[in-house]
Amino acid sequence: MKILVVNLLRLGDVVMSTPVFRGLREKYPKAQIHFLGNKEVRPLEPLIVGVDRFHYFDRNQLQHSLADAEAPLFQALECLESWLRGLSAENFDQIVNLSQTRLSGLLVSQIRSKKRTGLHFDSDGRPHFESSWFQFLNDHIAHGGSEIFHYADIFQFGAGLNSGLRGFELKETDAGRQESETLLGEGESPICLQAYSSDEKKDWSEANWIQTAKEMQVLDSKVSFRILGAPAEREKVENLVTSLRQHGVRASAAICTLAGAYSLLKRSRLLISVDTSIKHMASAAGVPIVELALGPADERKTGAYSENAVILKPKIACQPCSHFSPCRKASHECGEALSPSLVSLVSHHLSAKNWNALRLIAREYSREAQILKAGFASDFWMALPLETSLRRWAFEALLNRAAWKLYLQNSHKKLVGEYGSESLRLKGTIPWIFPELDTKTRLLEIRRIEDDLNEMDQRLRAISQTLRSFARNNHDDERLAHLSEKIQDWVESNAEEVSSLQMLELSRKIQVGVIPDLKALRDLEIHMRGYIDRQDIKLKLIRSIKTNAMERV
Amino acid sequence: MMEVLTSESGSPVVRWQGLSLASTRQPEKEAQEWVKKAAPLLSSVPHIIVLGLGCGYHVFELIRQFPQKSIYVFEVNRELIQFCQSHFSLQMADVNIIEIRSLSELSMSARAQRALSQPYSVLEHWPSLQPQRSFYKELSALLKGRDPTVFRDYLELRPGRKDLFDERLMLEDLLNSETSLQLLSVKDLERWLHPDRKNSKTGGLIQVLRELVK
Repeated sequence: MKILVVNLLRLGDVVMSTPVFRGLREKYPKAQIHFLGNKEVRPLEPLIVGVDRFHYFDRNQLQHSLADAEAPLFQALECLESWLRGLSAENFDQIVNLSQTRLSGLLVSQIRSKKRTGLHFDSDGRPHFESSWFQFLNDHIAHGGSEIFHYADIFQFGAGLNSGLRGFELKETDAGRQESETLLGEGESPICLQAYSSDEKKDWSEANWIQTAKEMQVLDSKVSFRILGAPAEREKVENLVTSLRQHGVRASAAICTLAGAYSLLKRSRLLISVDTSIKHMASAAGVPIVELALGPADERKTGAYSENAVILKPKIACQPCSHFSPCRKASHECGEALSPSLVSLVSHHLSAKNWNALRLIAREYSREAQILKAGFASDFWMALPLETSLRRWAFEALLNRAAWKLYLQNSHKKLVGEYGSESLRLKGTIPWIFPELDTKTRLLEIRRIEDDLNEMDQRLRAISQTLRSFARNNHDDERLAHLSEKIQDWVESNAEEVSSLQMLELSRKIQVGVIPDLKALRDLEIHMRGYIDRQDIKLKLIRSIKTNAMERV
Repeated sequence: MMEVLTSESGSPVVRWQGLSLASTRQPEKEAQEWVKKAAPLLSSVPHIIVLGLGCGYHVFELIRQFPQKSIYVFEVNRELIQFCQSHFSLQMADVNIIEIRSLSELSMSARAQRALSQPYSVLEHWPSLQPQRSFYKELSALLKGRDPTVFRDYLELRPGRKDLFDERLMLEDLLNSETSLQLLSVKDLERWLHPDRKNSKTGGLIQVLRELVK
């Protein structure tokens, strides 16, 4: 069996694909696993585990050839044709496309394979996914849905690897080990700082980094720092090191290859990082991480995929912003909202694994930032707030996520769903989410959630029924007003639901007397049905948790 | 008339009709510079077509730096070819030198067809082209196919490609003054693709390429 895993995104996305390599290797021990990535990710190759052969797509060369007036008109076409011929000659049994971009979908459709999972197109240009997870990624996340699984989870579930896979995996190389040894003193275990990313909007100011390092040195007089950077970032990194030293901080530059950086991370006690591929490499290295989620960094999709990480998210309404547009604020508000004292305190206590202190800090700094603990709360990754006042919100978020997972796995259509095992996993998170409550009070809290769910369920069913009859019968003013009222009611209590805007628009149209078309109503009806199915799953899960907990009581 | 000089570095340099075909000081160094400039164009293609043999230094440098590539040199001047073959017989064994005197020979020469059978880049060695500048200009345009006035001849040179495009659409556009002034791009290929071929393999590849330039 021959499987091609495709990820035509960046370095960090390839690191996020490593559980898929391992999972496929475990599921099909005799399979030959190939990987196709952009040429720029080649430096990661020596660190990747479980891939037998690597292929690279030279996007820059093709773009150059297309744009260069001196290149023959068919050159790019013929180069692409010849490269794809080579890939098709591999006769893959399956292609798993993890990068859901149109380009990757078009490319994957041109490579011969018996089966394709993830975005690809048929000869009429229609998209196919062959996995409810990849369909979800395309339909829900791309349209701003609020329920977002980490990309690494979607990659695994989408590739048909449903359980037991956690964490990224990379391997150390001899060259990397040697490189890291040249950067470290005898027995030294420094704190690494990844201060620069590929997007300035994600970066934190140099003054903040300097103040943080100074404060950390006050908290721990023996601490030393390495400022990580690629060779292209040498000047910036060396300037920062000079400034740090001028402020009395023990810091030096660590300009190294990816292999060197990985070995250095393995020997470090902590990484403080903005949103970069280094953060994902640190997850694989098992080093504790403090992530600063600034600018377009969306921790729900690409947060530090580790159980030993804390994410600091400034409470600024526009964060996360779009990757593709410049910051519209007069200053970098999200970066300014995170104070060096918060970052240094969190880093100090995470390094000492002092979670009680971190909870206190979360409460103290709750106006400034959300402090999220990353982890594998159930069968998926999630970052939950350490703030006590958000505990119920955190549990509901987990429940919601578990319902989405079972829904995408079609559990609600099976005679026997996997509610038992999922509810047990959820139950396991309760002591962590409500640590200060006794068992009876926790049970009461869960009952309250169940009551709310029941109430919402009844309201939803009423709207759905009206919607269904409205879509099938003649319209009249009274029914229109009734429907509009119910939709409005639902929208108000589900502001984050993906279709709320659609619903709101529909409701407004009805209010001004526009009769919605049948297709819009049917689309909404289908969406509502999905929502009701997930509510149903949530109720089953909560009942299962409750029964289990009551037995204990 | 051809005369052979000795450069300052001691290597022979040909002067043709009073024009020196390589540097009379350090032709080897000049060739290195030329290849360095051309290198970014070459990494993805298996075939390199060089227009102009000149004194051969640039060709040897290409062989040295790109030993995996097949190199084809198109040259008008038979005398020059003979000179290079007699002076540099050993190195010449690795090069396909194609004597070409008219554009129509391109489609008739089996060796020229072989040069075009794989993705290729066209490199022009300006000092070597000087004596026949206008011919080489036409040859270069034909081999690149970007000039609307030669596109149909370019298609004739590419076996199997002609049927992919809608002749009527193509002609309409090529006769349109706006299109005829611009160099052709993948957008034009997409527009001219025959409706029956939109879902073909080539149609799919053109879609991929269009995505790359969006």
